[in-house]
Order: sequence, then C-alpha cells, then structure tokens
Amino acid sequence: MFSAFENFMNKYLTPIANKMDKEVHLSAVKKAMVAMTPLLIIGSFCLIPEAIPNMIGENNIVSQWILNNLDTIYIPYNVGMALMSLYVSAIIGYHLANSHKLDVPGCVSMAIIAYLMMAVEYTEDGGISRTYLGPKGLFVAIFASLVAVELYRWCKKKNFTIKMPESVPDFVSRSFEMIPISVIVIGFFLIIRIICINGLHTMPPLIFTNILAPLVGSMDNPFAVTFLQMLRCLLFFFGIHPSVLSPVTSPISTQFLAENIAAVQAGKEAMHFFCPGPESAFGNFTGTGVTFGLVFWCLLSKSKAQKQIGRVALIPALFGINEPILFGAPIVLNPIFFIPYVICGGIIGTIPYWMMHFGWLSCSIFTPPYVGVFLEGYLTNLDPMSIVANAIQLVLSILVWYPFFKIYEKRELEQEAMNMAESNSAISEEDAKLLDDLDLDF
Amino acid sequence: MKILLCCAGGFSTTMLMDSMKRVVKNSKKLDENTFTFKAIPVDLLQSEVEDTDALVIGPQIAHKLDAIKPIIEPYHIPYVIVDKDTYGKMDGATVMKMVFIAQKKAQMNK
Repeated sequence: MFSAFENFMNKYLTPIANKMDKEVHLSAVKKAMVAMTPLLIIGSFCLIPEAIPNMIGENNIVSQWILNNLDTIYIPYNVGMALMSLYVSAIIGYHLANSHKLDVPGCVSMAIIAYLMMAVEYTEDGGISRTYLGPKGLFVAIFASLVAVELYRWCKKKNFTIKMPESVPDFVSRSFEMIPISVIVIGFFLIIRIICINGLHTMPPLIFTNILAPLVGSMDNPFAVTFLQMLRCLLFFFGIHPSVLSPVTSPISTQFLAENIAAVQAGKEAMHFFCPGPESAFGNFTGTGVTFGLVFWCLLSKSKAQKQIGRVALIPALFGINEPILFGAPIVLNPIFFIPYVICGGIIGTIPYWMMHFGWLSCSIFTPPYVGVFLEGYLTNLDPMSIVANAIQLVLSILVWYPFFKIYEKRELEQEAMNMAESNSAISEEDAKLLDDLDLDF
Repeated sequence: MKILLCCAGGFSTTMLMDSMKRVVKNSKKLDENTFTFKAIPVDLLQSEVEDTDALVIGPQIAHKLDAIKPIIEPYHIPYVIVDKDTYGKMDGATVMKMVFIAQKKAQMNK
C-alpha cells in the first residue's frame, strides 16, 4: 500500500516541486525576500535603544542621549524597512531580468517606476506618503515589478524599439531603444492607477490587500500554520527540501515581521505569529519536523549503525539542521516514520504558534541567525517563555518518537543479526574498477 | 581542484565538506593544498560556477537537476548527486570517490 502511495506522490509531488523551483518569477520573489534579511535585522536592532531607558531609568546620560536622538537612531529603520517594498521591486526586477537575459538596468528602473506608480500617495502638503512603500506595499511591489519586466520582455520580442542607423554609437542607440518600452510600461501602470483611483476610488495596494486578505489573513490562523508545517514535513519526507514553498510563504512572513516591528515601535503589541524567526526556531526546532526525539533514541540504540547515525546527527540538530538524521536514519521514504515525522512533527512544530495565539508567548520581532536551539527561540521574541515552549517540544518529540523508533530498531537489529546488512556500497562495481585505477588510499 | 557542494541552504553540505576535507588531509597520496572546497546554497550556483572542477549535489535538491544542468553544462563540470545513505552518514570518503569517478568519466568522454 505504501509503495502505491509513494508512486503516486513521486508522480505528482516531485514534478510540481521541480516546476516551482524552475519557475523564474517565483524564484525572483524568493530571492528578493532573502535579500530583505539585512533590512529586517537592522529594523529590529533599531528597537533596542528605545527599550534601554525603560530598563535603566530615564535620568542618566545614556537614556537622555537616546531619548534626545531617537529620530537619528530610527533613520536606518525609516529608510530601510519602512521602504522595503521599494527594495523588493528593484531586486525582483534585477533577478527576473537576469533570468530572461534582458538589459538589467533598464528592467530595474522599469520595475521601480511601475511599483511607485502603483504605490505613491501624496500627503496634503504635497509630500510623498510612506504608507505603501513599506510592508503594506509588498504585494503590489511584487506584482508591479514582475509585470513591468514581462512587459519589457514582450516589447523587446515584438520589436517596439526605435532602430538607429549603424553609424550611431551603441550607447546612444540603446538610450533610444528604451523610449517606446518606457512609454508602454509607464502608460500601462498609469492607466491601472487611474482606473483604481478614479473608477474604484481606492489605492492599488489596497485592492491587492483585499484580494489577498483570505490568503494572508489565514496565516494568522494557527490551524493553517499547522497544516503548512505538515506540508513542509511531507515534502521533506519525499526528499524534497521545503524551501520550494518559500515564494508563497516568505512574502507573508516577511510582511508580518515588518508589521510586528512597526507595531512595537509604535508602542503597540506585536500580533502576527507567522514570522521567519519562529519558523526556524520553533517550527523547525532541531530541524524540520522536530526530529530531536529520533536523534536521542538513535544515540541510545543497541544497533551500532543507528548509534553512529545518532552521533553524526546530534551536533547539527542542536543548530536546527537535520539532514543527517533525515537521510541517515532514514526518515525520508521510510513508512514507519511517516506518522511521527509528518503528522506529529507538524503538530509539535506548531505548539509555540498556538501558545502565541493564546497570548502565552510573545510574537516575533527579530530573525536570529542559526545560533543554536533555545537561544534562537529566545532571540526571536526576547520572551523567556520561548525556552519553556522549546522544552515542551523537546520532551514531546522524545516521547512521540519512542514507539516508532523501537519498531524500527527491532527490525534493524534482526537484519544485523541475520547479517543481512551487507555493505551495499553507493559505488557500483563498474565504477569501483575505475577507482582501482585511481589508486586512492582511503 | 575546486569542489563545490550545493544544498538548499549550504548548512548541511558544510558538514559533508568538513568530512571530505578530513579525508583529503588524512590521505597520503592526495595533497591537501591542491584542493579547495566550498559549500553554497544552490541559488548562488551561477555566481560560483566559473572556476569549479566538480559539483556535489545534496539529495534534498536532486529534483532541481533540470535547473542546475544548464548552469554547469557550458563549463563541462562533472557532477555527483549524493545518495541518501551516504549523505545521512556524512561519508566524505565515498563522496570523494564519487567525485574522482565522475571526473575520470568526464575525461574519458572528452
């Protein structure tokens, strides 16, 4: 029965994952989200100085200096994270232009202008409002920059360019090439803007917010996050790295983190729990699917092979990396481990999200690097409760894996006893002959 | 000889890389100084591919081979997809052997 299931999944899941990874638009979005990391980290850092006067009191030199210079301290935040959609549109333009082998500077400027045409709003005194240049404009930035580059590509394909005589220097004729393309791209987005503002009486980013509200809002629901976590485990169960999902999930989690930081900066409480930091520190605590339990039981195993795998997997697991145990035990495509990995892994991974949902745990305001389990969780929200949350996960993981591991260990030991575990080398006999020629000493 | 290792984030291949480095170091026949290793996320492959002599691909991104091939083919770089068992054991010696075999095959096909 399992092999039928496996065949079915391999037939459909792998090609979909492959398509998603090869898809240039999704890949550009994913890369742009990764590129936002420094902006978000600096945005989080900017929250620290303001907290200091609360901790050490206001009547000392340090606190006074901080309070007097808050505007300056917030500059990196105001020009970075608060304008993040602008950066996103430029980076998407860059990557998509590279994938399509188009003129990169031309595409980048088209992507930015297209996005700004959608998102710029004027304040009453004639200044440009920042409202939709930050996290709120993220989806419109993704849309506008992708469409702008595609329009650029289409114009090139249809040859809507002004051809100069041969004698005109190359850089001069290139600048003429851009004119019809710019007119088409800018005209297109101007028309959208006019329709939105005069016809629908709303700003374009708000239309996106409304259309995507069910999808984005659903990630504020812990059930959806639990389901997503199971989906991640399911992908990894079939040996596919769950990062194929990030073009869809990372714009949402990045936006949520930015909104959390903005909320804390405004003196409010962070409300979104689906953020990149917790994803790594709680959802993937000791690795996707919270596999520490298996590592633990492997270490105590009577089987020599299992013990060895446990040893190899222990240190990386403490830093949230579990490929050794996934491929070593193996969990991947191992029917015995389907339930603890996909079902229980998804549930245990999302317990802290439920705690955030019920207000027992603070939401994330920072995305720490892989600093090691427990500390990573604490750094995401600076809430000591996160250590408790991680500890609960740890204990549950060890308990859940025990019965499944025992079944597996028994089978492995039987095989070892029967000497069935013949050394099936990863290198074929034919290749082994080549190896003899090479005369290696290991 | 520059050996490039790719996985999704570049983390787990770093472990494999360390194991391969140890193998080279402990081998009397191989000169440590003639080998360079680098572990990267597969998304950065394009920018690192140029002076690479062999590419090692982790099993969790094996489904990406269709996207990887066009990047390495212009440079005729031999590649190895590590099988799940070897990867789980972080068995650098076997991977080094695979790399040498792939390289030798590439030379024979020239």
